[in-house]
Amino acid sequence: MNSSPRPGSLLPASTLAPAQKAVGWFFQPVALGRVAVMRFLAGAFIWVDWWWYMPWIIGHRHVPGELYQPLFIARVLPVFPVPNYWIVVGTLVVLLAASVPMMFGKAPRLFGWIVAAAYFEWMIIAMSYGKVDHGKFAFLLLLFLLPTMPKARWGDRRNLSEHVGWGFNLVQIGVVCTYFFAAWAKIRYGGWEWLNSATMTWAIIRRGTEFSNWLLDFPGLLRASQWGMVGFELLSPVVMFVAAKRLKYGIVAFFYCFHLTVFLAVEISFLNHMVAMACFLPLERIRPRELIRDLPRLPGLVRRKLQARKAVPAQGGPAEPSREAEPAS
Amino acid sequence: MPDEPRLSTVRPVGKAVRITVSMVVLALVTATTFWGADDFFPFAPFKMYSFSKELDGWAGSTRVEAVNEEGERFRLTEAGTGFRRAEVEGQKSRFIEDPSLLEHIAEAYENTNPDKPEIVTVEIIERRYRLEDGYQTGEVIEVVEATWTREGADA
Repeated sequence: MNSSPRPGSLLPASTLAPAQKAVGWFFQPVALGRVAVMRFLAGAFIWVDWWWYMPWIIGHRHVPGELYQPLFIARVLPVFPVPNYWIVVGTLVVLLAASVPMMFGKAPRLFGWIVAAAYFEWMIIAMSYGKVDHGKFAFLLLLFLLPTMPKARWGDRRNLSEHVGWGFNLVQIGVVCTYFFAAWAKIRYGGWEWLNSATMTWAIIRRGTEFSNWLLDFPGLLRASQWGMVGFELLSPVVMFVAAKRLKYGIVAFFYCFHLTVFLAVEISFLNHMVAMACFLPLERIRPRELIRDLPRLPGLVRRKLQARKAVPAQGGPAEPSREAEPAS
Repeated sequence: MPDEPRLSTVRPVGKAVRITVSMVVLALVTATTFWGADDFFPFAPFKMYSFSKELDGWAGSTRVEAVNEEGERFRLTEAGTGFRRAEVEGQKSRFIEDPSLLEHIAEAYENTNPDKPEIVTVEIIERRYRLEDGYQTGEVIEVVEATWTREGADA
């Protein structure tokens, strides 16, 4: 690090050493507004989660301790008690109570830590009875990283932070790992023959819907979807390295569409994961007050914006009006 | 000047610490993906639907059924016990080895539904669909994999 320029000195990106660029990749500044939105989304999800998305977790309050199978972490750290009625209910009460101030940015770091710890215990209660779910990784990272970020206001696009950039970068690493390593797990557990196996057939037999049951008559199509899935999972890390914002948001939109399709086909949704994934998006642009004020005029605004876009001839780099500092991700 | 745009930067030591944290998380999740198991949650391998199902063979669907004191037979669902189907499947080998553990599923049901008649029998049943070349042949069999009956009950 001796040859590196002093912090604060401005150099064009092309003259930066590769090592510095690599360091910079972890710390791409993000606007604080995004933190406020992510806190809200995380808290809102927690409030929906326990009674609608994963209501079975609270069901564990009635399950006898004999069916509890402690996970590695609970065997190593003696801080996770065998769940009983009051531990399950108490964890939920603490979780819900702490998530409200976090959602609205009141002492968000303190309550963020409480939420992170309580949700972690909630997950231990959920996963210690013989089945571990696999879509929670990025969301857990999000909960533990939000308290490291400063207090923030909605719509704040002016204040950028590398601290926030690092946190969301790690959440995004979690999101991408969930996809990329899911492909690897298929090869590890299913072998290469997974690609041509009847796994999707089996999934639809178990939990098919009116949107997907017809697919059972077309096993070739289901096999093709397995190839497609592994292909997209292996390619997913691309999203971490694309510089063009539209392309990045397009890839994230594709991820969301994938989850919608899976949900319609087998009613499996990775809602936690989808909440965490929102940190790819420029949520700092959301200004609730203006949004509510403009709501009646919204269709007209969208129409005008689309027309204006069409009027501009397509070109390499559209000249962005330099009105506000823009985050790099 | 609250409206002045501001970029807050991380100092070099903070950067080193943070990159280390990122790398440790990545290393842990990579390691458990290659060599770990579900047991290492939250760093469990992401193995949703990762098992190969044979194109020719049986696709199974597990359920739990119970008989209560009044002789009524019904399905024990997640809503009725707080114990999920996937959890039954996850601990299935335990239940097959020691069917008396099924008593605890009955307990879970009775804790959840204190006003309903008590359960005297719990069964794990697997319905198996025959597949040939990925198509359902229509052949279906049912296998009772484990049974527990309360002592003294005549079932």
